[in-house]
Amino acid sequence: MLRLTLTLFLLATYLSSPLLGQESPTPTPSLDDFTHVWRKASSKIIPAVVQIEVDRTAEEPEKKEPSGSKQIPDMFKQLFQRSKHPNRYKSRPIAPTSGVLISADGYVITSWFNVSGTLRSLTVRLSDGRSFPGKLLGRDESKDLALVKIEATGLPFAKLAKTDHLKVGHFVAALGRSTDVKQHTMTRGVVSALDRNDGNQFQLSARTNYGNSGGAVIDIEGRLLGIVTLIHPKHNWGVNSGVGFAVYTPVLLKILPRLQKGEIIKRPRRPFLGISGEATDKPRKGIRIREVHPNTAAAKAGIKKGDLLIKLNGNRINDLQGLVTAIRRAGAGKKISITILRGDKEIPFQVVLGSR
Amino acid sequence: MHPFAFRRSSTLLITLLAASMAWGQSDDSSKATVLALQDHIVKTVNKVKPAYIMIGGGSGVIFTPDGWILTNNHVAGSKKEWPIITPDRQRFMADLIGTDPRGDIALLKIRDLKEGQNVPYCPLGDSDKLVIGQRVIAVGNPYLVGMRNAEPVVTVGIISALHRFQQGYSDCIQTDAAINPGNSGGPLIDLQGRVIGINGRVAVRFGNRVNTGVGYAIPANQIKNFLEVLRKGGVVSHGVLKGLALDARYPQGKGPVVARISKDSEADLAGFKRGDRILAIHDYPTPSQNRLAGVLGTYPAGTVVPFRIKRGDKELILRAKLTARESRSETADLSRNPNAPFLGVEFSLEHKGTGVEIEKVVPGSAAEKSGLQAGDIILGFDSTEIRNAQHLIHLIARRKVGDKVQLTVRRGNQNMTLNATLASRKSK
Repeated sequence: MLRLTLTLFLLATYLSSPLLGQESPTPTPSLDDFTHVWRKASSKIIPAVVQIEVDRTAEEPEKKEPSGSKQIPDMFKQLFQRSKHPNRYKSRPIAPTSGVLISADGYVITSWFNVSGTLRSLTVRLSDGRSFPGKLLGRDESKDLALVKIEATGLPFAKLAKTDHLKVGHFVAALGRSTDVKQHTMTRGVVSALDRNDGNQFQLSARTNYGNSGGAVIDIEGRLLGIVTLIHPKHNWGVNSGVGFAVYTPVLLKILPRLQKGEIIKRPRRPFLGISGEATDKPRKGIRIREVHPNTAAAKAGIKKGDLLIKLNGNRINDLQGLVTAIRRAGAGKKISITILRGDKEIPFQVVLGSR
Repeated sequence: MHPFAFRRSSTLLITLLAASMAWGQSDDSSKATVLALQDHIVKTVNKVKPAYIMIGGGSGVIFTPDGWILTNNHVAGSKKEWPIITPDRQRFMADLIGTDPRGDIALLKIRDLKEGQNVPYCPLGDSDKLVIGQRVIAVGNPYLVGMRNAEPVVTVGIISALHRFQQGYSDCIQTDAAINPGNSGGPLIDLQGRVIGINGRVAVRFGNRVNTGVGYAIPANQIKNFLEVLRKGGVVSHGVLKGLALDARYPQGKGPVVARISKDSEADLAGFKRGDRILAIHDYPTPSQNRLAGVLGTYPAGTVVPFRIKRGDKELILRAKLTARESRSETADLSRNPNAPFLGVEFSLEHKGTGVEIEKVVPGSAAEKSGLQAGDIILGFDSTEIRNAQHLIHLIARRKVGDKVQLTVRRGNQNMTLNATLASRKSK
């Protein structure tokens, strides 16, 4: 009787389980499993996630971003049009953001965007409610990081972990501190891509936004993997699409001494040729030049619209990624040789790369 | 022991066992299961990524070892050949073989593969076996963030709904895996590593083309219905059942009722009679007109489809042939003047109601450049409400080549404004 009842019970459990819908068993952790795991993983880091509030009198003047490849198809130009309700989303809300304590004596790392502009004051609030004035030290604008210092000791802090193990598909959580300073916020997602912004950032699908910008990204072991930075697309501030970025902690570790000294690390000037074009293989593989920008290295060398760029420093160029890599390898200010196919003649050019 | 007491203690034992099972496991086993799922996702991603491709302003997937590619029609339907890039930055050329504009699918083939040369691929799965809540993976290139190094973007979510009729997709999968412009044409993959859908549309607000947690994918089984005709090449047509008029008044949830059959039509030949109640097509229940249209929208013209109907107290299977949706060219009424302003559309003759439903968009035309897609309904031309196709043709004819016009368009249940610059028929 006992055995029969037990068998019937187990049968009923199995029949009602979601496993029956799929044909080969995939692990099916329950929501409770995820809750347990994330609660445990985040518990050490949560006290180190702080709130940052600034009194801003003026924004940074908007810098014109160097244009990337101009090969964005027309349909995407629509994306960059002003939304129907421009004011609702484009201006920064006046509200606290997040940061992470990375030392017991009060170094706080955050997103540069959170502390940019002319500030009258900067306040850091901890999870226990204590509040400190913060001093802005160094920053790295192209990585979107800034270092703030508060004067205190014995503070809870997060250790910067290695990230070599990180893979696309790994579960991650983004932690921030909410406007109620005693509460943290958590969003969850996966690592979406590993190599963004020249390898300085990884991409994650956990929702990131104004409030948790500057916050911590952790894995299910509770390791600090990165700091939440700019969300994308920037022109739709306030709406996260599931495309977010975080600076790798090893990248932060490398520039930390410079930030501590108060250095303003500018975007390194990149070598610049000055053309826009598309990869083609008619009549041969190369870059068909659509535009030569005025006053650039390419213009000065006499390269013209319609030319087909086929070689750089003796190496065949098959696609735009190859061209960018070859230019980067050469470096700003360096002389390179470019082979152009014009009509049916191969013409060599000597070009001195500019920079921007 | 008294027999009753024994039974009670065994009941207690079972209850305790049940309770401990129901109340979940210890922390360690929670972590183990979560880690196991994470591991499974990472492995699936690694298996699937090599089959992903970047094409045009969007994504695609190779689904056979000999290099057949699927993407959206709105990504690749406009040109006969496309350069494609794989995540390891290999470039290939792919030829456009067939397009299904209404179903928003394009079929391409990688060119110049050597005899017996295989490429990485991700096979199609069975979208009818999907379960709401099931985890899925989307691979794409949202906002072209992957363009620089050809590294695609992976997002994970669940199946939120199935068999939805939204934005012109008549039987689509809804998912909360983050999908944005640039994901179009890319695969939606189950945890067995099979393509169960092609991502194509998102529900948006305030005109912001940003994911809101609602993404739509064309299901694999619909694509399978079309593969044979797509492989034959050209533009394929969806099917309609000609000669069947449904009763507008009928109780919801029981199935649409036939009001009228046109003599000698396909519906007539199939044996439909007035008063028949349509219960299902194949194994797909059709409790409403909307769902009936949704299921029918998954077949190409020429398919013979079994309808299960109720006549009196009998159930019958009627096999009916679907024929091509009829459309009419924009230039049908115009003079042969090649310099006349041209939008570049064909109007559906199946559409009822105001506005004009677009059956086809001419590749390279002003309509295509504006973002207009098959299935869209043009409601307004600048500030004029469109009554019918004739009306729209007259409005276009009164303009000049080069004029910029604003089209008010409905796609599914979303209204949008598209800007078109009228061209001449000859221009590209």
